[in-house]
Amino acid sequence: MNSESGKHRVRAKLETRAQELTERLELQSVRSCYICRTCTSSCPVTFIDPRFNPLAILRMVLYGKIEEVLNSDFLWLCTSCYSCQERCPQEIPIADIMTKLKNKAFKLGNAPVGVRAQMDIIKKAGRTYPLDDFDNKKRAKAGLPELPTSCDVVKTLFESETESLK
Amino acid sequence: MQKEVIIVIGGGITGLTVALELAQLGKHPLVVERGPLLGGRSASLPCKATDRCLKCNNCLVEDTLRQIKYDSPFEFMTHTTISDIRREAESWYVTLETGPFFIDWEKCTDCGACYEACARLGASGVVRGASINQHPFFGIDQKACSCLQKGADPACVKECPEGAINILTRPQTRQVKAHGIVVATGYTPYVPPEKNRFGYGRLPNVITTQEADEMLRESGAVTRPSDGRVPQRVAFVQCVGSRDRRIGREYCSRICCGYSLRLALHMIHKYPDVDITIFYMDIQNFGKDFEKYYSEVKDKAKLVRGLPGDFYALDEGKISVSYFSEEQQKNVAQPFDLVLLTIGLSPQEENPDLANMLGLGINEDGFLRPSQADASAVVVAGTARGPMDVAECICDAKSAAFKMANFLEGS
Repeated sequence: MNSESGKHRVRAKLETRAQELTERLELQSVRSCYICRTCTSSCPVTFIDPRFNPLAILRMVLYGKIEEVLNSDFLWLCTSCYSCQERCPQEIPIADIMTKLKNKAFKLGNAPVGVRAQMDIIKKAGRTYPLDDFDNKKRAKAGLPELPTSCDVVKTLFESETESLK
Repeated sequence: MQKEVIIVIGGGITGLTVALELAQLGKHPLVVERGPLLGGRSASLPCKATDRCLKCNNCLVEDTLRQIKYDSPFEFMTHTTISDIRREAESWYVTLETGPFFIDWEKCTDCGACYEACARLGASGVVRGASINQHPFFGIDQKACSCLQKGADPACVKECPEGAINILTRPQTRQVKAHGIVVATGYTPYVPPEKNRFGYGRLPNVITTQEADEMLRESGAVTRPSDGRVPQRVAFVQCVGSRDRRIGREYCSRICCGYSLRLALHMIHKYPDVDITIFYMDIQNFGKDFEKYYSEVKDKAKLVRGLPGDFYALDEGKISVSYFSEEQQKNVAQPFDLVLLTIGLSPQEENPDLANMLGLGINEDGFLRPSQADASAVVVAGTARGPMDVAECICDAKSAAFKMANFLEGS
């Protein structure tokens, strides 16, 4: 077997894999994009960090580069503000696609450290910002009612959620 | 032999061209126009020439109107709507409703006494045409008439030296037996909804191309509505009201790209300092010589691929427009003095009713489609069929007249 045909075979395998992944995540709607760039010019994140470009991500998914998106760090810059989805003239659910991609990337273990740390905090305290007695003292001084310092109910919900994500 | 009357619904450029052609073939067209004036929307389109003709073809409308004004080759009725259409054997029985307000165009001399009388009262009940070739040049807009609302005797009737203004208590009806019907009801311009990201209706210097057209026709220049000054930086936003699934208009309006390129060239010729940016998703080249204008605009103005996102108000009526810059590979916000929304063509709201009455179909975009079974007794022409420019409308009208004449000769 010569190396050229081997390369072809590897590429073909990769392409089918990307296609399968796109279909499994139900991202076929990206095909109706006609590159009007409304999503990118409406994106508040692109203003601050041009590495995040919704149109570029959609195009990468369409061209079979979905694994590169899943391995990227820029995917996690999306704030889910839904500006792109609200304005897309082809009604592509762009923000929902970003969420799907993030979920898949998490399953593959590609989530950034910050996201993992956040998850651990919520797992422990049930909140992204854990409360303790110090906070409740401050609240009492301001005349605000006391809040529970732990949220065990959220924890149990969270356990079942991580199970399904695995 | 009995006169073979053909009802032409709509007195715009398409309807008038159909009627002219049919009259020349010895038929008897009757143009029915619901508005007060002939010429429709095409009569207010301005010439966009620079030092040479840009072939926008809007002057062809003037030629048609002039021919009708001086030759009166066919009968027409303004302020008239169709209340009922019945089909019996080979002919159609059409009930027409005129008025209750109308100007008798045979008596009217276009002197303008009615317009002045109405303006003295501070009302705008008498409307004026956009072209001197329009006859009648004046019409009555019942909804804007202040005399009728107050219950007073309209001032225009007394002022008219010819006694051409008719005011009746209820509409005049007339039944016409017709052998064929030509539908040339045209289009409605798209108006952005109350909540839109372009700031139309909220920011004074965001206008539609229709408003720019009227301005160019009226004063000869496109200026800023807020202070009447000539804009330094102008943004054109393409595809507003077309190619958008969200508003149910997935079709391309075809005329807007050519329109923007011509208006940009016209503005650059008039004010060489003006800085024009055209935001587009694709440039669709319909029509003759399009490529030439496109390459000329590429040299003289900035073409940005991608529609802008946000529109914010700045000081002095300026507008901040944010878009993705290809050179810088990031989102930038740029101030503009004037933003022109290049609006698309929408189907008429009455299309479903009309289709019902005449047995026509509606295509997936909402425009009229001739039915297969009875294609020749009812002919659809012009923008009632789909988006097209003035030249295409004239071509379509001529072919429609030919089809109708063929049908009449065959039967």
